[in-house]
Formats: sequence, structure tokens, C-alpha cells
Amino acid sequence: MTTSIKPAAKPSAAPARRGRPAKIGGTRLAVLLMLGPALVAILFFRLVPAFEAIRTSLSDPQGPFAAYDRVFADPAFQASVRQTLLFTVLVNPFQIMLALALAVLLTQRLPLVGLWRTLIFLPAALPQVVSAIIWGVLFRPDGPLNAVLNALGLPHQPFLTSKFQALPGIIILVSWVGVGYWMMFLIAGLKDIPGDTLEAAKIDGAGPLRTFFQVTLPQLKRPLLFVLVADTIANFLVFAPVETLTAGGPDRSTNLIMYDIYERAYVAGDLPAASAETFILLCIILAVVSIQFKLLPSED
Amino acid sequence: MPLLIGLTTTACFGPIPHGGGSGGGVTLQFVGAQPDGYFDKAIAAFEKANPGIKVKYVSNPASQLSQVLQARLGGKDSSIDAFTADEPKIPSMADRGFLLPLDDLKDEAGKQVSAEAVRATTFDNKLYALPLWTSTALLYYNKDLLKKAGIADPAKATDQRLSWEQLTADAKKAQAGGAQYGFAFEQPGRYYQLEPLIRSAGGGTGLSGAKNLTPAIQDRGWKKALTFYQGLFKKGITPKGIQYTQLPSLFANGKIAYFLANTPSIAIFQKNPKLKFGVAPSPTFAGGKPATPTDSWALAVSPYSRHQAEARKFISFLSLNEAGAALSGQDIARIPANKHAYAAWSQLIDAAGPELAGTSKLIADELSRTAVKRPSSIGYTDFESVVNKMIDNIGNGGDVNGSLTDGQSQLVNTLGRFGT
Repeated sequence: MTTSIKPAAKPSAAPARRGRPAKIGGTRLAVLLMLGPALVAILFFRLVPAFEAIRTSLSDPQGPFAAYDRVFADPAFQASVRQTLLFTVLVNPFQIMLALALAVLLTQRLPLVGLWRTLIFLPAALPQVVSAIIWGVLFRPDGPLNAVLNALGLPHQPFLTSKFQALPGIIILVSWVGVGYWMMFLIAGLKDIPGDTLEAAKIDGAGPLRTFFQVTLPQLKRPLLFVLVADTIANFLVFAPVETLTAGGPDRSTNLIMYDIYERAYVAGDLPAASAETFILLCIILAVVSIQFKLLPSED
Repeated sequence: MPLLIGLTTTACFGPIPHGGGSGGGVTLQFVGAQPDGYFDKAIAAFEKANPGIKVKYVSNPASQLSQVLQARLGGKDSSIDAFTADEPKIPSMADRGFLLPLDDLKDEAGKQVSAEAVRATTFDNKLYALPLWTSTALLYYNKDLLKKAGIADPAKATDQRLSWEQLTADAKKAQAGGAQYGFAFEQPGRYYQLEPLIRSAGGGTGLSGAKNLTPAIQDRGWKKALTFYQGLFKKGITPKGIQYTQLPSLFANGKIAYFLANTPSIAIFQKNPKLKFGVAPSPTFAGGKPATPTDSWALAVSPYSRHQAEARKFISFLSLNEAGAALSGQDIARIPANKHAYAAWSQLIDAAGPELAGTSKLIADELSRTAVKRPSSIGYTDFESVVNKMIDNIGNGGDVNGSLTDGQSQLVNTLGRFGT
């Protein structure tokens, strides 16, 4: 090992002033090499396609904004925005509260808690189409769910054939799939809370509810924000259950925006309009996520 | 890093085409909506007669084939050589540039294939595909369920076909006699199945104007047919919310008294030895002109294929060659468009079971006198997509007039991008 020659006074003073370690070049290079592949992947798989989409949306033969005009004038698109926003407002609080409740429950000392966690997480490991087909059979008007309702003396339900029950049906389906996945993040967040804080609360005489709302929840802000944002985005992109089961119906009640984009691109073959609608979806998601970041700051 | 760039470049610019070529052999990729193995016999015969050409069949679910073709051919994917094309969508696909014109095969096609089938694959005076099959709808009925309810078997002669009104009454009677469902369509919620009802109620095809790009779905025939259609569900005669693929089995298992379906379902019915079924003509509205659905799948060559000559040979074999057409016909399931194969098929289906005697004459009558085609239009794919959803909606209980108005305005918007 060679002894390093100490640099002259001036250069060594400069790094000290900026508070950086001596080997600047080395660390930067290491960072670049490790992040490099991810950055290249983001460039080629996210940014380039996004710009391509914007470019396609502006290249309609009838004029640069003709595709956007067409999309905004389309009653199917208008319905899809309404239904997607309705879906978002219903599904996200439902899933997150359920995930949180399950996370709290499954971090208690219960018998076989590992087994419960696995079973609840399992649907997330299935392809969405498989889950959709399973629920499609369950929801059949002559299917098992109605059989159970009958046995309990309750009236027979139309489920996915009713324009009022179809969207809630999709909500239940995607929640069955996703709740276990989000629960895992919240379990990790709960386990991160130092035991002393909870001990201290106990000693101070706080009951379980008070402890939860005033100690646990504030400590969960970061994982909760992550789950909220990631779940919201995932729910904006729901497609497989609609394509498999309802084709956007009945009466456009489940015509979520991803399905509308898919139809525009691959049934109508109208790529400029589909790209325009994709860009509009991107703007909606960015708007919603920014609002979430404002309402739930991750740092106290 | 170079590996990553290489991978992403490949991802950006599309799949690496594979078509054999090295060693003199050519492998064609043939994409279709029929299940795996459907064309094995025909492909084997073709490969035997054409050493040096191999064919690999890739199956897609029928409800997704259009979208898959749109994605792949829209992206100028050169790995598809031949594919099955849904006949009414041929004008739309030709407009999008997905079909290689086959005009030099026009004469041969005229000789080997029925005139109706050639019409179904011709657009703008150019031949864009070679027909494989045609289709028609038959009314199958469960003899035991009818007997239990004291209903006489419907006659097989086309001039004695049931009216929809009579069928509704009989279906209800069958349910009173113990059938779970009185009647079902094989393809509820689809324009293919509803067009004959609409036409027999006096309605138009739904598209008008010189180029069939002007929607017109609010005439009396549309209202009558769709109100009747909704009534079947409302009265509990027809089951709601069951996926298409599960319906033929319901009839095969004795749960439905009358079932309006095409010929491929016969294979499913014959699997249940306990089922005693009969065949009768499609019903019509009293006082209306009888109508039946028709047309089916054809074979096309991709203009982006690198083996167009071989692909044309292949599709010619399956469509224009008598042996090839017979092998791709799946015994009695498919009605061949090829004239010679059709003659052989007629004998096969009449001999396929006691209940099927005389069916070929019934089908021949329907094909020549009552068959109604779907409108030829470059906007047909969009039209069908909107109309199917609307029909489904009406079946689920949506207000008929409201749905028709909504559908009309949706169609005006969607077809607007084609001009008029």
C-alpha cells in the first residue's frame, strides 16, 4: 500500500470548506455507475415513450390539436373521466384503510400470523386476469355469491350486470388483489416504530386508540404517503378486470380511462387520439399526486 | 452498458423477425382466432405438399385478435405472414393497410369459392382475403324439455319457421315445465346475432350513405328488435351475465330449452350422450322478412411479411384447394366456402347424427335466401364496437330509446374522423 502524497494546503482546504470527502471523483463515479443502468432504463422505457406519445398526439392528419378535440368531444371519454375520478375517490381510501387495519391487526401477537399475512398477500401474486376471471364467476347472477345471499334469505343481486353495482364490484375485485400488497409496506412501517415510543405512551397512560392516533399514525406518515401515492397511480391504471369482465359497461359505468385508451388505440386504431388521451391521463395523475404530496408532507 | 443499450434498442425498434431463411427453409407465422391445434391437419398436408415451407400457428382469443393485429400490423411487425381476418372487418383492415391485395387470385377464387364468400372478402373491387368458411344460425331445441312441457317439436322446413312471438310463448311454457331457461342466444350482446332480428323487424343495417359511414340506428326496426331482445332477459327467459364461452355447455347440459347458435356448437352438444336435441330454422318476426346471419373467417397475407409468395401459397391451399379446404373445415363444425368441400360437408353433416338429417338442405336454403350481410364499411370495426356495447347495455336493462340515442351520438362522434 502506497502512502498517499498529501495535496498542497489550498486544495485540501477547498474540500474541507465544502464539507466533501477527499476522493470526490471516486464517489461520483461510483454513484454514476450504480445509478446508470436505472437512469438509462428510465430514459428509454419512460421518458422516450412519453415524448413519443406526445409527438404522436400532435401529429394527427387533421391538424396538431385535432386529436385532442376529438377526445374531449367524445362522450365515451367524458364518461371515462367521470367514472375514473369516482373510482379513485372510492377505491383509494377504502384500500388504504383496509390495508392499515390489516397491518395493525397482523402486527399483534396472533397465532399463525405469518400464515395470515401470506394468505392475504397471495392474490397480489396472481395475474390480474386470473383474479378477474375468478371474480367473474363469483359475480355471475347464477353464481356462488348469489347462492350464499339466497341461503341467508337476502335478495338476488345483479352485480356486474347492474350499472350501479358494476363499479363497486370492480372495486372489491381490485382490492382483494391489492390490499395484501400495500399491507406489507405498512407492516414494515409499523415495525419501524421504536418500541420505546410506544412504551412511553403506555406509561403515560394513553389507551390503545389514543396511542394509535397520536403516536403510531404520525410515525407512519412516510410509508403511508408512499402507499397513498403508489396505490393512487396503480388504481388510475386499472385495466384487466374491465377488459375481461365488463367491456366498460353496463352503460359506461366501468369505462375507466385506461380501458378507453386501449380501445381507442387497438380497436379504433386511432393512435393520435389514444396518445392524446394518455397525455391527459398523465396530467390528471400528476395533479392528483401533487395534491396528495401537499396534504401529507413526508417530513414533519 | 452496451448490453443494456442493445436490449433497449431492440425493445424500441420491435421484435427481431424470424422467418427461417438460412438453409433454404421458410417458416411462416400464421396467426388466428381459433384454438391451438385447430389447423394442424391442414398445415401437415400443406407442409407435405410443399417441402421447404413450414407453418407455425399462433392462437389468440377471438375477442382479442383484432386488437393484437392492430398492435402488431400497426407497428409494421414483419413476423406475421398470414392471419385469419374476420370478414366484415376486411374493409376497415384494408383501409389501415393490413391486407395484401390478392387480385391475381380473383379468377381462381371465383371458380373455387361461392360468390357470396368472394363478395365478403372483396372491398373497393379488390380481393383482400381468401374465404375459409361461412356461417348461419340454427334454432337448436332440447327434445326432452319440450316433451315435458307438452310442446311439439318445431318443423325443420324453412317455410314453417317459428315466429319470435311464438318462440317466446313456447320458451315460457318450457320453463313452466321445468327448464331452467327457456331460450338463449349463443352470442348475446353482439351485432352478428342481433342484425337478423333488426332486419326482420324492418330495420336497416345501422349504417347508411354511399360509403356506409353515416350511422342510422334509431329506426323502427332497431327499436322493435332491441325492445324484444331486452324483454327476453326481463322476463327471465334468457340468462343474464354469463360469458359467451359458457353458454353452449349450458344447453348441452340440459339447462336451456331453445338455443340459437351456429354449427360449431354441435360438437359440444354431441359430447353429452344424454342430450336429445333437434334442429329448426331461425325464428323471424311475424309479418317480417326472415333473416339469418352469415359470413365468417377468411385468410389474409400481411403486406409486411417477408415471405409473401409462400404465405399466398399457404392461404390458397387452405381456401382454394379442395383437400386443404376440407381439412381446415373441422368435420361438420364449419361450413366451407369452397364449393367442392361444401358438397362433401353437406353429406357429412346429414350423416352426423339422427337429429341432423336434412340439416344441409336447411342450411343451403338459409344461405341462399335469408342470409343478411353486415354492412361493408371502413368504419365497421368502430361501428361494431359501439353497437355491441349498446346491445349489451340494453340486455342489462338500460332504457332502449335512451341507449339508441346515446349510441347514435357516440357513432356520429366516432365515425366522424372518417369524413362522409
